[in-house]
Order: sequence, then structure tokens, then C-alpha cells
Amino acid sequence: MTPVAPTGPRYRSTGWGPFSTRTWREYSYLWVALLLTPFTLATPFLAIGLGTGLAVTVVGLFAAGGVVLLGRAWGGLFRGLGRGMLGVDVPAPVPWRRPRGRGFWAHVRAFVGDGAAWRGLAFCFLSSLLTIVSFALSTAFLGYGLGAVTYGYWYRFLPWQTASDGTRHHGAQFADGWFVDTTPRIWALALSGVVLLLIWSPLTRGLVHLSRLLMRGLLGPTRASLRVAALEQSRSRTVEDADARLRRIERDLHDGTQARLVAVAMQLGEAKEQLASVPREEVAAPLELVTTAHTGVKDALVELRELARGIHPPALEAGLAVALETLVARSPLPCTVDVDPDVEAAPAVEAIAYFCVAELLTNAVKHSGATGAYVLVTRETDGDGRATLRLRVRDDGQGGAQVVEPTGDGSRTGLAGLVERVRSVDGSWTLSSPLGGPTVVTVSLPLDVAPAI
Amino acid sequence: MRIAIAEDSVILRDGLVALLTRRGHDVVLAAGDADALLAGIAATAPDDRPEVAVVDIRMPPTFTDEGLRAALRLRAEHADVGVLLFSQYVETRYAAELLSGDARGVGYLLKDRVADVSEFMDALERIAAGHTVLDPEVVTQLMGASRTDDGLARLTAREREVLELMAQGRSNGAIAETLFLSYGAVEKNVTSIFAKLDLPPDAGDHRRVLAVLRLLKVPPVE
Repeated sequence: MTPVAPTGPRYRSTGWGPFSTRTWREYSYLWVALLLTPFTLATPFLAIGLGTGLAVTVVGLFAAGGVVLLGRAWGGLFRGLGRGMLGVDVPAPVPWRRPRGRGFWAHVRAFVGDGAAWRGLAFCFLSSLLTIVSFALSTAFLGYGLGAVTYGYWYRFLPWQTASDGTRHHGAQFADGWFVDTTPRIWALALSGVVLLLIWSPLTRGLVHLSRLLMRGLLGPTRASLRVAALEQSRSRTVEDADARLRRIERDLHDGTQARLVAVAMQLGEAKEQLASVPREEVAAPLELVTTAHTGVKDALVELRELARGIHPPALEAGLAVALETLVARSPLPCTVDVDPDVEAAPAVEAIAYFCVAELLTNAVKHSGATGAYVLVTRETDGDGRATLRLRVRDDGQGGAQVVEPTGDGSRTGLAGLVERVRSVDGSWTLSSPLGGPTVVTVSLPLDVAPAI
Repeated sequence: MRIAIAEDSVILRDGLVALLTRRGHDVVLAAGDADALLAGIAATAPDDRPEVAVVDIRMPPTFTDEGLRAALRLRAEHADVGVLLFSQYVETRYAAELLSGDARGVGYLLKDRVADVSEFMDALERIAAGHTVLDPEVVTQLMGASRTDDGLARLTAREREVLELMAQGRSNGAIAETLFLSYGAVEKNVTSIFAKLDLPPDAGDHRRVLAVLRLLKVPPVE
């Protein structure tokens, strides 16, 4: 499931077979995992048990949700163990997403519906079983192997036993009367110990590799979640790029074309005045030409200014409040604008907020018959501590506003365009416009364009 | 007249210098950013200080409101230097900030206005003489921003027209010419405006500025 899937561990190993550091490191992983087993095994049962048992009580769902999220914590711990002891680098899954909406069910959904947490719980369960089996097998091989190899020394401390024929022996009795206490038998046992130890090393590695596979399969991000994360990232980059490009175009217009046109207008103005000061009949034709050109340049400057303002209002560089004050002052509708000074959003978000207000005021003027509007921009904290820019435009018009879905030819009408702008940064919006008014549009935008990772 | 210029666009700065020089003015300082302007004026002997500084609002390094900041500092440190803010755009907030101090000897014009050369020269001289010169667009916007004002409701349409022209820094004679009124009729309107806005006669010529500030809803500094 992970994009990088190397088959073996990534650490250096010295020694060979049962003496290699790799085998011992992986064996010690089994110890650590075994010590954690009581807890890892309990977590999934606790989650399911709490969830079903307490579902009738509202608080129970939250408690169960919290335990589900423990799946993520275990996942993090085991990814760390995997990195440190097993040489496997599993990337973390996509972070837990705060609920989009407000309210109880949104939270419960976000808790209980978290895929990565459930996969973490599944890992806990499967890994616990696997660990118990692996540990038992591996330890048995290691124990028998070491015991058999060293048998020749310690068998003499075993208690005396009497065989059926009355002889007394030290040592292990494998069959009735068949004691391992003669030199050939001791050597044979030692040899079997060596064989067991030789098997122990690949056996342990193989069993631990199963754990490794389990980590890769359940603790990493899923392909779909990786894709969503990549898409979100590229979208926020696109939004930022577009904003930066518009900014640059406006700056270029300001520094280049507009300045040049002003200089030309200035020269034409002077030429006009100089021509006007000589006797009229001699220069009537050129004076008229210059006058026409002069007027044309002045009109062009006005048009260019409006165009540039539509591309990117320069006052946004000085903050949303400054830009909005000018916007409402230029609106034919008497408006009050109130901007919370704490609102500090990314430039692209401020631009979206600005154009939302512009669009809403234009709509109010065109369709609502309003006599006044109120614009309020505040910094809000939504249900889970995520700071947002909230903007509310209220007019006292006749109401009945609605979103017209975009037509096929790509042209968008007022509110639909606004909705798309808001969605481009994962913002949300609400429209309340009963017949008879008032119309209130509330837009919530994240302060930052990038997804909260 | 001694004039200082702060404008980051070379083409416009050179054009302005050439224009003002041809008109017989003395451009004592032509700076490319706000710091150079302030440093240049601070370094000049009081007698040689420019009478008016023409300041672009959007200048390096941040291209936001450097010019406005410089203008406000200039007003605070050298009140005898008139300031004309000169910009491609009119921002309501900037106009209000500029006018919230002592509004005498300040102006805010769109750069386009330099196309009408004589009017531009006239504006510079009015600023040097301590008048307030505002772009018609500044006036519209500040009025748009203060439409809830009720103090001006008592003015007649004609009086309002006269007051708006006063806000642009016009003299009574110029207002008469623009509105096709007799000089006496304009004077009568002006007196009536002062009366309706409760501006006492002892305020002298300052009444004109006070009336304009009332129109623009900017609190005057006492």
C-alpha cells in the first residue's frame, strides 16, 4: 500500500546466522511487542465493546470515538518500533481530519469513521496474535537450541533418576530408560541444538517479516488517501499561484503601462496648452487632434484603473480592511463595513473574501432593491479550534436570492461563481434569503490555503 | 516654487521634473522612495525646504502605503511643507488618514490629473498656500463612506454642490465659474452652509476647511 516498498530491512547487519545483530534485534522486537500485547489486544475490544455497549448513551459514542483514535496512537508507536528495530520506514497515514461541520454528529463521524484509526485497531489485533505465535515459536527454538548445545555442561546438575533396570542416571530421559548421559549422545544432542539455532535465525526473521508486512499494509496511508492529499496540495498551490499571478499582472500594469500612459497624458496636456496659447487659426487642426488624443488617453487611464482593480485590488496589499473600505465607499449602496483587526489570512484567502464581498454587494444593488448593507468580517474559531475568516454580508432588500447553477457554456452567474471561489479553498457558506428579506450570506474561509497538515 | 518629488517610476519622475521645470518651478529633490525623500528634506536648511512635496503612495519596498506614511511624518515634522499624495488609486482609508490631522496644506490627487497641466499647477499652488485639494474621486468616496451622516441633511442640493467643490479646494470664484452662478450667489451659499453646519464666524478662513471636513466626516484636530 505504500509507494516505497523495499522488501528487506534497511539497517546494517554484522555477524552471521544466529550470531548476526539483525536476528537478535528482530528477536528483541518480539519481546517488546509481547510486553505490549495485553494493551494492544485490549484496545480493539475496548473500542468495539464501548461503542456497542454505550451507544445508547450519547457520551458513550464519544468515549468509543476516543478509543478508536487510540488506534492511530498505537499505529504511531509501532511505526516507530518498525523504524528503530525492524528497519522498515512506513510513512504516516493522512492526519486525522477535524470534522467539517459543527455539531455532535459531525464529531462522532470524525471519531468513529476514521479509517486510519480502524486500520490501526486491526493491526493491534492481528499483530498481537502474530506476536504471541512468533514469540512462542522463536523462543522455543532459541531455548531448545541453547539448552541442547550447552547440555554437556549442565546435565550433571540434574537430579539422579533411576531407570526401570535399576541403574541411576543424570540427565534427560527421552524414552523409557534412554538417558542422554553418554558422550556420543551428548554430542548428538549438541548437534541438534546447533541445527535448531541455525533454523532459529531465519525462522525469527521470517516471522518478524510478517509483522513488517502487517505494518506496511495497515499502518501506512492508503493509496486513495495519498491521492487526496496530493490533490489537495496541488489545488492549494494552484490557488496560490493564480493569486500571485494576478498580483503580478496588476503590479506590472501599475509600474509599466499606467505610469507610461500618465506620462503620455501629461505630455499631451502640455502640448494642448502650448497649442492653445498660439493664434487659433494657425493650429486649429493639430489642436483638435491633440485634444482628442488627450481625452482618449485620460479615458484609457480610467478604464485601465478599473480593469486593474478587477484583476487585483492593490489595497489588498495593505490588508482586507483597507481594500473593503474603498470597495464599500465606491458602492452605490450605503454600506457599513466592520473588519476585526485580528483577521490575518493568507493573501489568496483575503482576495477571495474581497471578491465575495464585491460580488454580494453588486448582487444587492442589482437584484435586491436594498437601501443599505452591512459587511462584517470576523475571526472565528470553529468547533474544533480551527481558526477561520468569517464574512457576513447582510442587506435589507426583498430577499429571494438563490444560486443559479452554472450553464454549460462556462459562464457563471453571481452566487454560483462565489460558491466556486469559496469551495476552491474548502470554505463553506450559507445563504438565508426569505422572500421579503433580509438576505444574509455567511462565508467561512480557512485562514490558510494549504490543507491543515 | 520649490518642489520635492518622491515617485518610484523613473519615466513619471523625469516627466514631472521636466514639466515643473518648464513651468518655472524649482525641483529641489527628486527621490525614488520615501526614505530618500524624508532624508533629503531633513538635510535641507529650513529656508531652502520645498514648499510642496509630491508623494507617490505606492513605493518600494513593500509597494503599499509607504508614501502615505512618509506624508504623515512630513506633516508632523515639517508642517510648513505642503504634501500632495499622488496615486493611481484612491483608497478611502488613506484619504481619511491624511485628512485626520491638520488638513491645511495637503492634497490627494489621482495621477491622471497631471494630464490637465494648468489645473495640476494650480493645485500645487493652492496646497503651498495652505489649502486642501482633493480629487473628485476622493470626495465621492469619502462621502460614500459617510452616507449615514445626518448633519448635512439640512443643506440644499445647490449648497451641497458648492460644498463638494469647496472640498476639491476651489475658490469662490472658481465655484461660480463651474456652476454658472454669480460670485455673490456663491458667497451667499457659502455663508448659508457655515450657518447650517454651526460653524461660528470667528473661525475665520478656517471655516472652509472645517466645513469640508464635516462633509467628509473627518474629525478636525483641535
